Amino acid sequence: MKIIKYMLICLHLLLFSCGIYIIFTEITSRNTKVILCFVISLLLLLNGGTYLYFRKRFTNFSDEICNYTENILHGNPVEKLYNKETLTSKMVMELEKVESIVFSQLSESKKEKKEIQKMISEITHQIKTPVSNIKMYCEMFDQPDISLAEAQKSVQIIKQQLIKLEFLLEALIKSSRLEGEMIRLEMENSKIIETLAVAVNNVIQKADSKHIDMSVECRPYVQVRHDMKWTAEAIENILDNAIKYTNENGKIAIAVNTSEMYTEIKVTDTGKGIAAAHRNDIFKRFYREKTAAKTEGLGLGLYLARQIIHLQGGYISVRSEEGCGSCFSICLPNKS
Amino acid sequence: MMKLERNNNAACIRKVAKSNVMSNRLYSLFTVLTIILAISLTAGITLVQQGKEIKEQKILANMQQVGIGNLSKKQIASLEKEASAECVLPYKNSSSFRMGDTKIEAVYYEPSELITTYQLTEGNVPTDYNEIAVDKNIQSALGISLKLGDTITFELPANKQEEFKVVGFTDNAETGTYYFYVSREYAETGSLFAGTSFAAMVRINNADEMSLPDFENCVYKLASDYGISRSNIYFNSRFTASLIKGSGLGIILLAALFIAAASAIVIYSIFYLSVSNRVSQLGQLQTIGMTEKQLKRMIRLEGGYLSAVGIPIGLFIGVLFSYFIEPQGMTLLNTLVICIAVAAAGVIMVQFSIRKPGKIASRISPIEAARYSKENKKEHQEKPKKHKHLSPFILAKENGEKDRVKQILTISSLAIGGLLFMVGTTFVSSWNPEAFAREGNLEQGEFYIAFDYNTLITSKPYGISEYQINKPFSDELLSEIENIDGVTAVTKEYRTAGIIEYGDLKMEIPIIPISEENKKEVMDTLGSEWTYEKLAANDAMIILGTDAQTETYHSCPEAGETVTFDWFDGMEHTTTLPIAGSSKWSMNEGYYLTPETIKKFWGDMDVTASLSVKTSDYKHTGTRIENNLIDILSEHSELAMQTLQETLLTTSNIIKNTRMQVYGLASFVILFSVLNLINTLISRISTRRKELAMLESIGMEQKQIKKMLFFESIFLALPNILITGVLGSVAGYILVTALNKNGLSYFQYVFPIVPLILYIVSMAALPVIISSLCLKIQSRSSLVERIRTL
Amino acid sequence: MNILSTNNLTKYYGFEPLLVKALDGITIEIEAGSFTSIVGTSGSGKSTLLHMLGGLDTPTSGSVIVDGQELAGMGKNELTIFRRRKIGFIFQNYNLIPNLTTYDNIVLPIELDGRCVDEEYLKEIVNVLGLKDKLQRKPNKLSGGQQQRAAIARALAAKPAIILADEPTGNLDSHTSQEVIGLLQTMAKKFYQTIVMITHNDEIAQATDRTIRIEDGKIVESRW
Repeated sequence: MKIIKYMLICLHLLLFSCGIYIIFTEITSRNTKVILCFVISLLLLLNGGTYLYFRKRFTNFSDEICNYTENILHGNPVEKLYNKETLTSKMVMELEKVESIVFSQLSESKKEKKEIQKMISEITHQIKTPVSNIKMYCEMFDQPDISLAEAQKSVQIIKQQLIKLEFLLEALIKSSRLEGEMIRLEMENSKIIETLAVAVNNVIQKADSKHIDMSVECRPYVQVRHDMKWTAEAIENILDNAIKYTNENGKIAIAVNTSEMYTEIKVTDTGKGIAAAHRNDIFKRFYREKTAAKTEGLGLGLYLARQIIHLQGGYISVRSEEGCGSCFSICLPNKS
Repeated sequence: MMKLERNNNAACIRKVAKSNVMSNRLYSLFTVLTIILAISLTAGITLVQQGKEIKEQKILANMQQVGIGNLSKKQIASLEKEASAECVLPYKNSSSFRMGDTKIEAVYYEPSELITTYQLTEGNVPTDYNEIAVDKNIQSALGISLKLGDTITFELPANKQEEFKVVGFTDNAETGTYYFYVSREYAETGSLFAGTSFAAMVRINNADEMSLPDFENCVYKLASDYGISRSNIYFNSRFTASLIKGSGLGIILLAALFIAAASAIVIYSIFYLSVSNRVSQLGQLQTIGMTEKQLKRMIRLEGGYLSAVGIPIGLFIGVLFSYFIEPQGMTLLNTLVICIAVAAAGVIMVQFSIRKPGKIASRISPIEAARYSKENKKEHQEKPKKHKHLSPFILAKENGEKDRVKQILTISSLAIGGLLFMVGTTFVSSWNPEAFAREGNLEQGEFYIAFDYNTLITSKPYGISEYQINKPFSDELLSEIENIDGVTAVTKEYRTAGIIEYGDLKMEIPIIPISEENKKEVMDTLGSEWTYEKLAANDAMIILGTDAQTETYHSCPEAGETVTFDWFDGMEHTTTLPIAGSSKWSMNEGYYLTPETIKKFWGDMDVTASLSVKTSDYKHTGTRIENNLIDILSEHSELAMQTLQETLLTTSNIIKNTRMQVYGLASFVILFSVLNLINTLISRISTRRKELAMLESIGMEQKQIKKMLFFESIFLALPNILITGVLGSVAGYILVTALNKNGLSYFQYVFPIVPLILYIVSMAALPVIISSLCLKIQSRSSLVERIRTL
Repeated sequence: MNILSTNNLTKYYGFEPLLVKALDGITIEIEAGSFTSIVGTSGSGKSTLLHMLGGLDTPTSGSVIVDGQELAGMGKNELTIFRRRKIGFIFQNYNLIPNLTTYDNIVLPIELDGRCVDEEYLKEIVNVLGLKDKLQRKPNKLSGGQQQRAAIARALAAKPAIILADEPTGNLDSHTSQEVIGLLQTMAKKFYQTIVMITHNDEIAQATDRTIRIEDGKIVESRW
């Protein structure tokens, strides 16, 4: 572009000097000289005028774009410029696209902040009760006329509350680690049945206490590339949920199917099911169903499970009918 | 388009267009070929025509524009001083004499720089009294050998002899007479020039910028200023023809338009086919986001790239072609201007022909890309058809009906070519060379004996009548000729000459006696008050063909007027006579008097003007009779003979040349339509690659497929052959009949059976050959590959 | 916020008694940033719905609103430019331009708009899709799977707000299909893109945020 600019300037100078030369040195009639003078000055004016005109158009264009950008920032769509084959239209539509991407990232961020706020308030709420209980029972020890039995009872209760606090801390640490991607998953091709065994063992007691029948259907040789420890934990969280929301004498069935792309671990329960509207919410952080407010739990289990499975390239989906039961489907990819 | 704000997405369109052109080899090739053909033809024809004109101008620049005869030395001297005359070159022709069989004439030209007279191949211009420059071809005619410095003796009439010294040689074209050039001294005093007066070759200042009437008026003014009779003014017909500008250009424009139309049709159909084969690609582009404007632009750019390749090549070929045909006529400026004009016309023509396909391309809806349908079927109610037994023939018929438009386009372009071909060949084959040769003087016999044209050049004021008083067509001559073995008839033509004074004009005119043959035509021009007797009594004259007379003399008496008539029967006479009737146009132009009047004026003078000798068996006895006649006529130097044989030679040449031009033109037009045909055939078969492979895979034999394609070709070729054959024959017949009606009786309808058969065979064979070739090429790749390709 | 919505969309072909109801009253709303799959038996109208959403075909009745703009009110050129800037298409039959190189094919929508190619981003997609050393080849020199992946790259390269895909993994093996779905999901999250995908593969449908089932031109199920 620079070359063209210099060329144009040179040409102009050349023509100008030719004109001057002819006017002042060549022997032509006076009329011709006058006309030539006139023509040269006209050309100069025109050139100058043209430059000024295009400079103005250029600055106008830039002003227009700044104006539109302001509009877009305020969220006002510039409809008159949509879908036209012009430079301005192209720019405006790109700007709007960028704005919506940034806006969505912003709202995600805001949402997360809100979540964190909620989390902090829930945590404080969760901590408050055990701490105040510990405080209360500690004060009881100070009482001189406390019986041994009462003292032992107090110690038990304090122990319980401490366990609760510990549980809470652990869950928080896990979740933050997963969030910060500080976890390194050790993927190994190992038998899924062993992972299942670990998970089932951890929850079998709770199931038995509610007389819930647990069954596992899995061919022993099925292998999947996965991190045993974390996957077991994910399955455990799901089983936990299943047990929690299934009534006495219910059934929980675990089945493993392999298909072309994924290996599916299906956990079917006969619990109360999940309302259609909340089916997506259950995987969200700290989500707790209203009726479960009294029971234990933080609402992090399914969220953590989903994170773990996603990190391994799989996904969890759920099918459920209120009053009949739910079916959680964990799919791990079959990497060749 | 010129908006400042316009989106800067033009580069992409250029890229896609270029890629399209490079990948659609077939279409690009055919389009470029068509463009090359059209441009080279147009440029070639225009350059050659312009070259001919320029060459003519160059030649005319050194020729006289008008010749003036019978000038005295004084007149010449004053003419030379005339301001409007650029050049006045005196010259003299002697009467010709014979030495043996050779006719020789002496000429004197004063040397001049402005007018080219004769050109020496060797030696010098004669200066002394007996120095001459002679046509070197006279050596072979006389059987002698000469070199510079030799003397040559000429045997002049009346048994005189004269010796000349050869100082120079020329190389003249063969005309039947051999010329030698003398010095001025000899011209003024030599025996050969006794009694002949000077003539002058004149060029007028700025004559080439005048219009024809202006030029003629200028010359006539000159004549009247210097007391020169109009009958002594001879315009150079080549020069006067060159003043009539524009006729050549008109024909060129017509030819160019025709070529443009033919190539436009071909390019249109090529692009139409190309677009309809690219339906899915074009729909895709629209889906991805190419607007209508961009699509149209893309198609136009494709045409532009092809033009950018084809036009320069075409121009190159055209320039080369004209360089070989007319090298002297080419100037740089001229060539450049014509090339630019033809290139511009070519670009416009290509863009015009692809406009419609471009529009069609932009109208394609994107859904067609998504659905990927190859055939654009029109939505019409499908009537339940009866199940037909399928056969290659039926399949072929169905395939043809699928694409009516393409079919019709191809057939019509072929038919135009074929029609032109038929008309052209009919024209050429119906042109009877012998009838053509006999036209004019040889209608009544194979030999025509009349006054020597060369003799008449140094014209006597009263024309042939001054020779007729010597009764050259004597009874002896007649009986001598009649006695030649094989001569069946000797017919006399009666005509003499006189001078009419009309206004300020003095015109030498032919006088024809009213006879049984022309009586009706003559009497038809008369009003009711005239009877034959009255004509004779009043010595009235009838003029047939006043238009032609007006053209030559610029005015002509009309019926009802009176003119002064001068004639010569040994002595000059003059009288006035009335014009009883006239007709504007006639095959037998002339001035008619009753035989009574003629007898009154010329008495017993024999008014025979020519003899026509008819033979019984010209083919076998012609040469012998000719030799006999030459012997007889050797005594009569004022008479000359025209034979059928020599005329036949010239006319055959003319016919041959015309035939080549006609065939040339027709074959070019056919070439266009053949290109179109080949394109249609090849593209049809290549787009049905998958379909044909499919047919093969379900069990259709190669033989059956070939049969199906054969029938499809027939459906293309048959209508063309029928139209060409039927319409073409009819058109040809009409043309010949029309020519006949207009008096060109030498066109006798001959059905051009051989060319037609050749045409039919090639038109029928061509599709078959191409189809089988295509099939062969396709079957090289495996069946699976062919089915899989999209 | 809904980026795609239809209201009682119908598309009928032909006349009684041969009336074909390709779409028979479809009303859906698709959230911005979501990954939706459309399933159904062949001939159920899935492709027709997708064409409607992309403005390729006009409905017999009903409206289609994309990113706040009503498609019915737009002229042909406006629709084309709208598609160019907002929508990326992946078709069942790849539909690459046969006479352009793969690279040219991929950047075609961008160049048609006169925009600059984001070379880094392009490199990333091309690497994931395994087309790195195939860029200068013409489509007829690529295998079916490679052609499909090139078509996917084309849809992603311009970073359109909406991606409409018709069986994008139809010709791919399971491993590549997973990668492709993964790629779509990642890129979509990064650039806040909405994906609507037709598939007959239930497993893939499971991996999406929402599945809509269509039968006989009507919605029969809509699952998250």
